[in-house]
Amino acid sequence: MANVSMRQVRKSFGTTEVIHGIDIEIGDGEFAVIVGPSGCGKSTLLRMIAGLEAVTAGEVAIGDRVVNDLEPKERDVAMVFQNYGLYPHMTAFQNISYALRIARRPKAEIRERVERVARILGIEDLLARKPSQLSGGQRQRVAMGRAIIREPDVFLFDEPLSNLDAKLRSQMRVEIKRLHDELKATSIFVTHDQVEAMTMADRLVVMNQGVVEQTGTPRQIYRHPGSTYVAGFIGAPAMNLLPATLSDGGAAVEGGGMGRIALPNGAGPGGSGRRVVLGIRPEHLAVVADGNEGLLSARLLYAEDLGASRLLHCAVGDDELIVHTQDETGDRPGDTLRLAADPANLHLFDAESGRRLEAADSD
Amino acid sequence: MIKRVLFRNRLLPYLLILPEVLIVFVFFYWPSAKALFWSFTLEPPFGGVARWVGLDNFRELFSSPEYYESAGITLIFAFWTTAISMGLALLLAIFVDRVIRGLVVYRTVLMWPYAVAAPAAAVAFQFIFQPGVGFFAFLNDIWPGIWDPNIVGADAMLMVIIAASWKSITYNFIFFLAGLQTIPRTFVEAAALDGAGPIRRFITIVFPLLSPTFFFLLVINVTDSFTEGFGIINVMTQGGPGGATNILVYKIYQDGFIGLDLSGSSAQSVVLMGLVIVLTFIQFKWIERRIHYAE
Repeated sequence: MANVSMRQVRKSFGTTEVIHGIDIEIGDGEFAVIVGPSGCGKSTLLRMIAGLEAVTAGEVAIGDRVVNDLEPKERDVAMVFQNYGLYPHMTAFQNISYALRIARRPKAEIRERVERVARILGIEDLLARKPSQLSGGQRQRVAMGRAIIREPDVFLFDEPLSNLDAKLRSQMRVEIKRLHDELKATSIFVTHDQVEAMTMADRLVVMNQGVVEQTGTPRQIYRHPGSTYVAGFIGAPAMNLLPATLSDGGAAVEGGGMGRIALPNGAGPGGSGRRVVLGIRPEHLAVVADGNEGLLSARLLYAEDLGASRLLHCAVGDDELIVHTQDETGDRPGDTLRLAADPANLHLFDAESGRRLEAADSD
Repeated sequence: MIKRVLFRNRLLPYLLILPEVLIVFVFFYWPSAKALFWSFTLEPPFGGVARWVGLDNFRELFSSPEYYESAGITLIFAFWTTAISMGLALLLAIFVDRVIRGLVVYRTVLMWPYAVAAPAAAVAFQFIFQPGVGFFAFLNDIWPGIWDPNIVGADAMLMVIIAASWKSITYNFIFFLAGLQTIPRTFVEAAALDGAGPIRRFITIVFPLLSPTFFFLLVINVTDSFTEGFGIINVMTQGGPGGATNILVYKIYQDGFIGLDLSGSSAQSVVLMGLVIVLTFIQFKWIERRIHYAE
């Protein structure tokens, strides 16, 4: 078991820098999820921890050892690959036992350990099969077995669920989490799926274009997204982001079709005229009856019925926003809705930098 | 999924494959059948009616010590040519596979020998191996008389083996490189994380995944070295010195076209054909079952 730290880590391919100085501290036994869109450098980062890519600058440390120059096998990490990476010419048993056989462990020990791992993963009956004879979920389990059997300090997962169908994915999500609770080994899980990120992480790292946008617990990041990027990326459907301007000396915002909205504690960051972005999560908006004050009025474009709830796509001036509501309303496209939200659930971002603005922040 | 094409016209499909069938028939089956027929007759070298002699040609062949000698030389030639050209080709392919920059250059340069005709390559190698003035002449400077393929049979054999291997390295290299490049990096990376060093990785992961290519090349190389050494030997040694490089195909040519023993050389052709078939069969029977083909 070990903590993993990255200090000012950079990576260049030729003259192109893809990771621009990253600092991440992952505690012993933590389940960290690195989330970001494809091409943001998250897999490269993981491969640097594994030792499959050289670190261009900065330090990667596992435990108290700087591992920059260590071979992958000397780092005591195990990795589950996106396409499983199971050796196609070996049976599940041979796949799982490969590391032990390379380490020339006694036969009896290998058999016993493989069987124990197979029991944990529920694949005792599949050990004689080759990968081509296994389903996607079974291959996933074998790949996990190959990682678990080594009892490594750190588990690395490189989008391991992205090849599974939706049902299996949510099932494996729970299983991986349960395994982590059992094994308590430090785990780093890379994904582009924000649901996986939210549900699995003890610590969530949001990456974008080679930099860390924000680090925190899923709850913190959901409640206080640090930038418009994070706000739009975490949460589904995505947070509504509307251009607006501060008014009343910073006590309110105004914008396009929404009129004037008073800020909760009466004092926004900066003075009147500052251009900002107002963020409201779809689930924090509610449709209120006519005559109520409300927050803003919007024209309903169309509604998506999800069964338990509905997504109302609305136009506010030239902007669009989504309302996620469980209320049954008889509204039809074209109707005007009054929308309300708890002022505490409003987010303000700087229009230029996209960084979050706190009320106290008078910059 | 099997693609099926339906033809309305019943004749059309047969017409479409006719050219191919004709070529195969005229250039392969007909000569083979003719050779088979001749091997049971005594064919007069200057025309006339052939006489049926049954198995006499074969009887004569199998009681000739020269023939066994030639067969032995062929086995040595085939084994070393295959081993050297496949071994070096695999080594080169592994190196090129690890190259990131300039891959196209290496690949192109390493493919050139394949475009050189066998007699041309043979002439070049003959210069290289000339005991007096060639590249290897320095050996004679150090130890006078140690190298002379014109006189010493073993030297001549070594020379033709090197020339023939050089010629086929390219072909093998292309296939090995293509095979290596189809192996996903993930497998090698997973093995590296599992603690296997480069050599263990090659033995346990890369080579088994490369085995279909290896097997294909083995069959092709063995077959080729039995039948294709002709161009090189004809230019470099003419089977000499003293029959030291007189492999079966060259003996067929000498007996048939120089010695005008058409029936005897036909019998040799038939035996060689049978030998190649048996060898290919053995390879399929004993080696193929160990091969993992990608599903």
